[in-house]
Amino acid sequence: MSDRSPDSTPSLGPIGRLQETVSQFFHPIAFRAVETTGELTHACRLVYEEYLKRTYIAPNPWQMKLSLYQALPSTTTFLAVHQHHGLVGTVTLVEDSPLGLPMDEVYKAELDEMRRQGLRLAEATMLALRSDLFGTGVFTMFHSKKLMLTLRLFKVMFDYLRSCTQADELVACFNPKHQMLYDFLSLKPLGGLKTYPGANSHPAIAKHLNVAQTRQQATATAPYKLFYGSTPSASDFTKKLRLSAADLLQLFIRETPILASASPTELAYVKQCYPSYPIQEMLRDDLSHQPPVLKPFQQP
Amino acid sequence: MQDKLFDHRKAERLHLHLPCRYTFERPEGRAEGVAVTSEVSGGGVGFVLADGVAPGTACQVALTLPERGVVAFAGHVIWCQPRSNGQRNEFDIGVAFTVSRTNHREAFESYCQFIASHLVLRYTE
Repeated sequence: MSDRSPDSTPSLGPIGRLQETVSQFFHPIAFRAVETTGELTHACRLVYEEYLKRTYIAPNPWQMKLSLYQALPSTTTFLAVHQHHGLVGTVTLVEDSPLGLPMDEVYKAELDEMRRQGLRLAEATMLALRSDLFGTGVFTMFHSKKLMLTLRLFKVMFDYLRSCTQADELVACFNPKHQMLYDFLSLKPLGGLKTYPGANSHPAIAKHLNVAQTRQQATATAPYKLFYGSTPSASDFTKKLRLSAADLLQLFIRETPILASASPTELAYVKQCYPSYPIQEMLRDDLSHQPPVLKPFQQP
Repeated sequence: MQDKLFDHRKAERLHLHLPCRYTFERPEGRAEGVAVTSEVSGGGVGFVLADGVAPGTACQVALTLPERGVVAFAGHVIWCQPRSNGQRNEFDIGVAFTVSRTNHREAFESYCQFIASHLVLRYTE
């Protein structure tokens, strides 16, 4: 065969070497839930940096994409962690709660309709990969490493969804330019094109996936063959981060004003989630806090 | 390690044999025919022909994707060279697509799903 590519990109030689290279790429990468606040901080920084590059968010002084949803015990952030290079990708799953979901900001009517049907929702959000891994202009659907990195992140999130939550529907909203990826994952239309203030007023569309139906299609599509290739277990997530009072104080009060700016209703729900934490006292502590010292990212 | 981690290729080639119909817009006239791809990628296709075609030649390529039907794209020849096994009168032809997501939306989406499915299956244990 020719060693010249029809797309004029540099050749890596025989196909066996290509497979080996993809295998080598993934071998040192672990896909798992966040285990420390340092990792959570790192993930929020990665999302911030990548979204800022694309103007999906406005700059903020704490340089993280962090919200009240991440203070909730029902929100889980997942990582792709490279043995030598640290965090290379992340995605977050927000389970529905009295605070709603991030995408309620623009798709509340559509989500409420599902809630009225008794469906339990969870939102996939804050997907980000280190863009310097692949260079510019790389289209996910054509690039095995980028595609598989994205899907492996979705898989660990989906494993958690299946084994640790009661969610019936996975929902997501995203820039329409990513629609092909979500179509590939067989997500169905949920909401049409809207302007998303939470994404710096970029356009967004919403889609959903019925978890039970994916099981019926487990061998029908390539992504589902990946997702259902192994049986998830709740024990895979026993090390998942449980925020301590000190973590909440550090991340959501000292480093950011998130808890201080929460509404009374929101604050009441956070207190309900952490009944033993002295949230009110912690908020008062904000008035006399010391400059935070960020913990370094812990390699696996 | 840096070289292995940071990958700047834009599309991976798949060695798939798909029926294709091509039309070259040569200066001396239009040439049409059928072939079988030797490789496909997000950026274009490669196939073998008995005659060489000058790089830069505009063309149309219609691919038959299993279970998805025919998708057609415009493109141009980006390379043409005699087959490396030394056979005469055969040339490896590389065609780069000039795909507009707007103008070829349906075909492009179908092709994307096809390529991505094969990539996932290749690397799913």
